[in-house]
Amino acid sequence: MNRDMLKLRKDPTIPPSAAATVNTSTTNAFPVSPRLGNTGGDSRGNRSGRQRTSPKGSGAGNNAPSNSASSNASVASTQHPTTNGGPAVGYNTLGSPGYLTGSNGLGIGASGGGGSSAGSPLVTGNGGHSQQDGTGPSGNQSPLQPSTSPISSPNTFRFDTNGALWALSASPDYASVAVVGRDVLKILNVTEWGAEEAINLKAVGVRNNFAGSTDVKWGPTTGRDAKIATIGTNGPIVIWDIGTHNKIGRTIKEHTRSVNRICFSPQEPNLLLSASSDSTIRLWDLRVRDKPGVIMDAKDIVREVQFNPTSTHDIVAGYESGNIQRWDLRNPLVGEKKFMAHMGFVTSLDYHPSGRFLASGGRDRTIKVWDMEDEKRREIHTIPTIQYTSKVQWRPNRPYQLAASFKDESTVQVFDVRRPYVPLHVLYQHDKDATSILWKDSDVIWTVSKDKTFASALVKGQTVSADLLPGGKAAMNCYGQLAFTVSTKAGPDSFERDLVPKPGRPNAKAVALDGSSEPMVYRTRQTGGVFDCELFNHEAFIYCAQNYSMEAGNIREVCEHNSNVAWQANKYRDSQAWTALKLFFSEMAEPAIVVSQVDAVAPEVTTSAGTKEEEQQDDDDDIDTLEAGATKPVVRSLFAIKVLDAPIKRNWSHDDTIRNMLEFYADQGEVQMCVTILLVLAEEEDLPQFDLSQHWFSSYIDLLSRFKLWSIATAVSQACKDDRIHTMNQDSTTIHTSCSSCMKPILTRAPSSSGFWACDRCRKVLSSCSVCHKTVRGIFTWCTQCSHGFHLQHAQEWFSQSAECPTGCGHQCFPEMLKIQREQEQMSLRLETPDNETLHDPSHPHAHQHFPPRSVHSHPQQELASNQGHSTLRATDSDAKASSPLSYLPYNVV
Amino acid sequence: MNQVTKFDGTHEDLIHDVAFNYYGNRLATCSSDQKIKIWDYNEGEGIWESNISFKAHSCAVLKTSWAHPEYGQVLASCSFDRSVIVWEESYHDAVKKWTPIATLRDGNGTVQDVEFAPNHLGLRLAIVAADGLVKIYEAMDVTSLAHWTMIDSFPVGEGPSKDEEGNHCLSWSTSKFTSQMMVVGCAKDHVAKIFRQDHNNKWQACEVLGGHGGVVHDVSWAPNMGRSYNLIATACKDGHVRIFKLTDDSQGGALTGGWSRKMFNVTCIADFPDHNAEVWRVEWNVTGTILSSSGDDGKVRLWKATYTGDWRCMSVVSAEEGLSAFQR
Repeated sequence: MNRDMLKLRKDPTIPPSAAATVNTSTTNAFPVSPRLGNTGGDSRGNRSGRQRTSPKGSGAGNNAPSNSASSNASVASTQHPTTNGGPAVGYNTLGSPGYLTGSNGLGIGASGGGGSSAGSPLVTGNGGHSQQDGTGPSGNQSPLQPSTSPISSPNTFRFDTNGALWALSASPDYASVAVVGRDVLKILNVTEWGAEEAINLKAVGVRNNFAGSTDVKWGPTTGRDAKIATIGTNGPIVIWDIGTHNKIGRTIKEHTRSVNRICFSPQEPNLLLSASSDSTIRLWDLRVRDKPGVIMDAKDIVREVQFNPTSTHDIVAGYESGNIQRWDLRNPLVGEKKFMAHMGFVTSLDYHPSGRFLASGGRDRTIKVWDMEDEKRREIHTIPTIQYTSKVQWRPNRPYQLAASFKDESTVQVFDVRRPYVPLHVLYQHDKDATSILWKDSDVIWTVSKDKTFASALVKGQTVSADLLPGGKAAMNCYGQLAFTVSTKAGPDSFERDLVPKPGRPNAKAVALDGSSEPMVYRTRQTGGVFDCELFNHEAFIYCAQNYSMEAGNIREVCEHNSNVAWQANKYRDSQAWTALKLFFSEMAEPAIVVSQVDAVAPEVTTSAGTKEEEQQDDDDDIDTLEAGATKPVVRSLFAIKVLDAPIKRNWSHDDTIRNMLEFYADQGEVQMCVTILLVLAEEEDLPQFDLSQHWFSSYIDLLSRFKLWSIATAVSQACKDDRIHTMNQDSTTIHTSCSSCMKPILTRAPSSSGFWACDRCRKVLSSCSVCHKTVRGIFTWCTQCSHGFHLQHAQEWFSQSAECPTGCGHQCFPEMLKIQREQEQMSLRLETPDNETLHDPSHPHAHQHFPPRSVHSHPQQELASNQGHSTLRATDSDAKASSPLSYLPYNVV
Repeated sequence: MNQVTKFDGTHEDLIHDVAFNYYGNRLATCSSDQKIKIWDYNEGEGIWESNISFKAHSCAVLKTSWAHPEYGQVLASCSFDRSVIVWEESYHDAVKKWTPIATLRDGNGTVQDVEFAPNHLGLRLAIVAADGLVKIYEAMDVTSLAHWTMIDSFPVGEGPSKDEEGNHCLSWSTSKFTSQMMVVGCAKDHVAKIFRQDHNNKWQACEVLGGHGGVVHDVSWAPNMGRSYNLIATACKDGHVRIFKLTDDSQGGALTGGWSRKMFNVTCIADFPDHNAEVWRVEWNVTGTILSSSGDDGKVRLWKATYTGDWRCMSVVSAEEGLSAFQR
């Protein structure tokens, strides 16, 4: 048996390091290579194909039937079944079955006198391979040290194969696995603690002009007939007789184009299907060496072919066009009707273990589940995936679950088809694309990847990815509305309880993958909505914003006005504050009134008796109850007003009180009060400076913008003395114009452009005067009703004689002008200059009502980036367009 | 309480985020079903209407953020599929449609949070992904949002975090007159950190908000509104909602644009275990006076300071009863 190995070592194509690898693996792992087992003639492999025995209790017990022969003390009790009998001696001779001891039972205790600690990892992580070289055959006595990370649980490891991997296939008993890639053709022996290279077929392959492989399948036959089939990267299907010699048994070259997939029949071990780009599916009987294959003409590039595990003759093929077709091998001339499954080619197919349902992965980034007994061929589940699947496989013994690997994706995901959007588990085994997957049993999945590793992962106990997803969120807008979603978790493993019958078509045949109940889908335990919970009194805010006077200089009257405004808005505390301010700055009030700040936590304002005080007190109480309705918790008003008997001189500073007042309001987020008070008191000379005043201004302007009160925002900005605020609406303000007839934006900088005066597209003159038909340069005026514009002078001339529009549109522009003339306003039409100060003159708060917004659309369009705008407004902003502060104002910049 | 618009049944899986736009008249919801849905407020009837729903990503959509309306109707979303997509509403033949105008995909891991910067910084976007890097992108030409340039990138902690180790999160400070700041939740480190630009415009980790007994699921920096202090709220896996108060510690420098590594005194002024289950998200209202928190107990709690500065739960919103006033 060493002859082959010696050959391998001498093979010049293998670099020295690789030879060393082969050498160690020879001594270490040889005993369990499947072909050795044949000397015993005993092949008790599990032939049930998909119906694998799952380990019961013992994680390593998947070969339990075979351990009867392991009487040898130093040999692990659970081995490859084909190594029973004779080869056991071989173990002792070689003295190196160490890695097998780890598979004893659950890995607790040593096996017999083996002396190897049960947990000794043979291969741990990536470094395992090189360690073998160093440790040599003494594995039994000195278990390999964990290299990078200690193995904490069985069936969780990675094994580096020194080459990117594309496919894998396990021996019928899952003790070995064949992994292939462009430069790799290896058979690994796998236990639950690690993997080890058993045979490297690369050398043999290279001699036979066979470099690498895109797909591999391990035949169901065992013993001397054990075979693996591979698709060579250079074309042919190569059958390897690994039961007797590690050599090529047969090469199938009949396909005229590349072969995409091969598949052994689970029922008839010597039947092999191949799917090819030459538009045929061929069936090969491997017992007869030169028998040509049965040809099924698919008339489409065949991407994938699979046997039904419960049938000898039922196969299904997936095509480049996205179609899926079922064939009956008893009638290879005609397949069943094709049905459209995917947009884009079919990447992977897998029959459900029941043989009734089919999972298909497509280029359209979906996995679909089909009921193959339903003639209508409707998908019963669709899973949208992160990328298109490279391989999909149903999980054994879990009728609703499947795993998939994806193109360009390092994770492998396990789905429950009843919850299509959120994977049950996401397995982070690899650093690069995972290329193929294989369920070892219902809890362990094997994967191969372009990161050159073969990995095993324990799916049971993995984090449920849904647990990592946030289930609730609440958000509030400036109108005091609350949008929220909340979910409740019904506890661990609540998934089953959240299933509801699938809302389907009434006539749809009820199908469930477990064959029992009606089909179910997952529905979240989540609810949510938007409602107004009055978190912010926006009506009062807007009312106050619109009506507060910000005029400086005349403190008494303005304060009185603002006090009334606040009262109207039901802001009683603010109203009192204004009254207090008024009194501060009064010239010796009629009856002297002292306003004192009251500690916010004081339960009541204690005063001596007096009719006026009593009334005031009563008022206070009313206020409290009123306020309590809106905002909780209730707090006493901040200021109390005392009326004293004797007038006193105003000879004390109230700076501190004002400071406290402003800071109190700032802490409450009431920048409206802060800013208005500051503006009203702006002329007061001994007013203290507030470091934070510019924050208040910018916050207030921001709030006003949220309510689209741009005019007021501009007025506030203009009134502020602070340069950073004052210049806010001069920063980067851009006005865009567009042609009034074709709406094309007017670009003034384009070299070929006609500039401001004509539209590039429709060649019409822009902003023409209705009287002289020339472009208006300078102040453009227009009638806001009929939208016709003029030179100012022409308008004056025309409307001094006529009431009608000069265009003959029939509109009576004149009456409005008459009115304006009566008011002795400037000109015949309402004119404004593009100066913000006059535009937003608060003394004309309703000026804009004369100008309905429709004029926006019929005039050269203008948009103004919001007042504190940082940069250009974009034309698609519907909000800003419809309600831009200047859009209805009658001026145009030309 | 007036009209309630319910989200139930509008998405096929968990809704992960709801976000109001700047004006509060549009709402975006995003879900594990890979879709984003846009709701518009119908002022006439006082209800929210869902006009459009579109498939946004090929995995769960975790967060959305609206850009300032100055730049148009622009939305950014991030997802498990490792990408951030910037969406813009466009009109084609009078049909509104959301089109992806830029896809940012240079990270190596789930993008866990995305947020547009405050408007005065221009059109900027901060994202944080499972690889533990915060990246800041800027649209150089605001008339065409297809090109985004990464202008900053800095690690939040020690290397990447796996998804099961918890997520990162971030929140910008909206203050206009200080250096740029944000608070970042640092996944497996179980803290949140304040990052700030120094004099060389380099982002530096500064104050640490500690005391968390688990992953910080969400952070939210309250709008400052000219207060003399800043507030930051955190939502933690250990079931607590915490509010941190940042008071100026640099003799006036903090609020006027100075820089030092230690500018704030951080004190935890509130620590509420009321949810008694994982708390997922916290968010402030526009004035920074009310905090909302939502947890796995199926409740949304609203927190407000009393006039003496104590934070109290002002009401509890639960799935079953709608809004119920808080009794204490």
